[in-house]
Amino acid sequence: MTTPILELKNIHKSFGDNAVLRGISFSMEKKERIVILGPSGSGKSTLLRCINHLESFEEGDVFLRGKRVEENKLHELRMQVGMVFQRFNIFSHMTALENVIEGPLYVKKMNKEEAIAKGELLLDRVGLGDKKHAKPSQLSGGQLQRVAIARALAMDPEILLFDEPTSALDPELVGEVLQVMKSVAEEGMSMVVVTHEMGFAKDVADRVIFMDEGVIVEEGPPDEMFTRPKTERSRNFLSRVLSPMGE
Amino acid sequence: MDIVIRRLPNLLNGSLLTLEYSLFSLVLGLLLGVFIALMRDSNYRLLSGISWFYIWVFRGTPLMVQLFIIYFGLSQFNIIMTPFVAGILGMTLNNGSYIAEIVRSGIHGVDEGEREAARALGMRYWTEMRRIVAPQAAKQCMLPMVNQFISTIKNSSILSVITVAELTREGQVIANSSFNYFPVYITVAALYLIMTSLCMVLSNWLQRRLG
Repeated sequence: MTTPILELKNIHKSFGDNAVLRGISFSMEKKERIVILGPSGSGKSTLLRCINHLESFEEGDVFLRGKRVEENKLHELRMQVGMVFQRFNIFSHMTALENVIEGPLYVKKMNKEEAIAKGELLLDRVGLGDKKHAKPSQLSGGQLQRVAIARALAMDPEILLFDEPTSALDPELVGEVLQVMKSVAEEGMSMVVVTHEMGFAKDVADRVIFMDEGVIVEEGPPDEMFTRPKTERSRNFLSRVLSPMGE
Repeated sequence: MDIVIRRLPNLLNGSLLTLEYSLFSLVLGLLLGVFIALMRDSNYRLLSGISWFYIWVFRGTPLMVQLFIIYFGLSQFNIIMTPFVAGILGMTLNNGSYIAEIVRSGIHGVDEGEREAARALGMRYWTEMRRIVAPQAAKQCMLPMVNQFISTIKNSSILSVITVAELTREGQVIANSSFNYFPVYITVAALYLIMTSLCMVLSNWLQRRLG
């Protein structure tokens, strides 16, 4: 078996007395697409943020291609693990293109022409080729999130993390972002996605992880998870999200 | 009125000195203030504590007393400074404590999410500060800084107590020797008003440019 591209071992994290993650372990193969599901407060987003150490944790280790991530080399980890946030977090004093080339220019020290060419290509790819000089205030939420995806891709990461990327969007804008995420997945990106979009999970995920109260309750391929959930807790959760009005 | 016209060169020289002290202590105070602000937000307790203490002391005591301590007090320990050095030092330390708080509120005004995104790209602390935080914080700080400049110009009149021949001191000398207080001090006030008004014009212009 090959070395997993990402491995988490026994991650524990609490906020004060509140234990948010209680021993999370999983590993991920290259090009694998994992969707993490679970009720709010189950620790999904915290887990995602622990992967690139945006959140510190008390116990456990993160391994990238078999190598333990050292506290003093976090920027090296983060160069290889891109992240897309719920609230986009676009740099508000920069244009769309400037947002995308910021990482290549100032983290990777790429030369300017090369970075611009790459940035324009990526903006084209997310369908915003004509918006490259737009300021964030001139863009819709869906467009901002697509810029954010282009910005993450510009670093040529090994893995992309998505933290509820469509939760802050108006319903009519969700589709365009999911579309881009799907195309990124089809090009072979390794992805960990925290989302409530069940359709995306069904279509794109190789594996679904169901979390509740800080532990992984169940995991498996989406068709199995959605049709034959093994545990009571995942059954309950799925029945609620798949038919929210409760037939 | 005669006396004012005759001694106007002295008053203008005093004004120049007032501007000079204000400008110097503002620029040095800005450097100090940024440094202190970053220290205050540092994860190291000691650095943050030192910075807290400094701000606490210099914002909580009058500039005049600070100048007395620096100029007269320290001379008892054979630390003897010219009025110029003591004046710049005192006003810089005083300005630094206020500017540190201005800079800090500017930094805190930058969206935490954007800073997180910068870190998520792999940026180190100084790159994040320079590329993401500084440009946005600077914009936030612009107007409070102009206000600080106005205060500094007015506060510099206190330098007269350590014999710096700035505008107020010049006015005092002329008034005391001529016993003609009213026109002299009105002129002094007018000269201050001209200097602070220039700052306000600058502030309005900035406000319009920054939207």
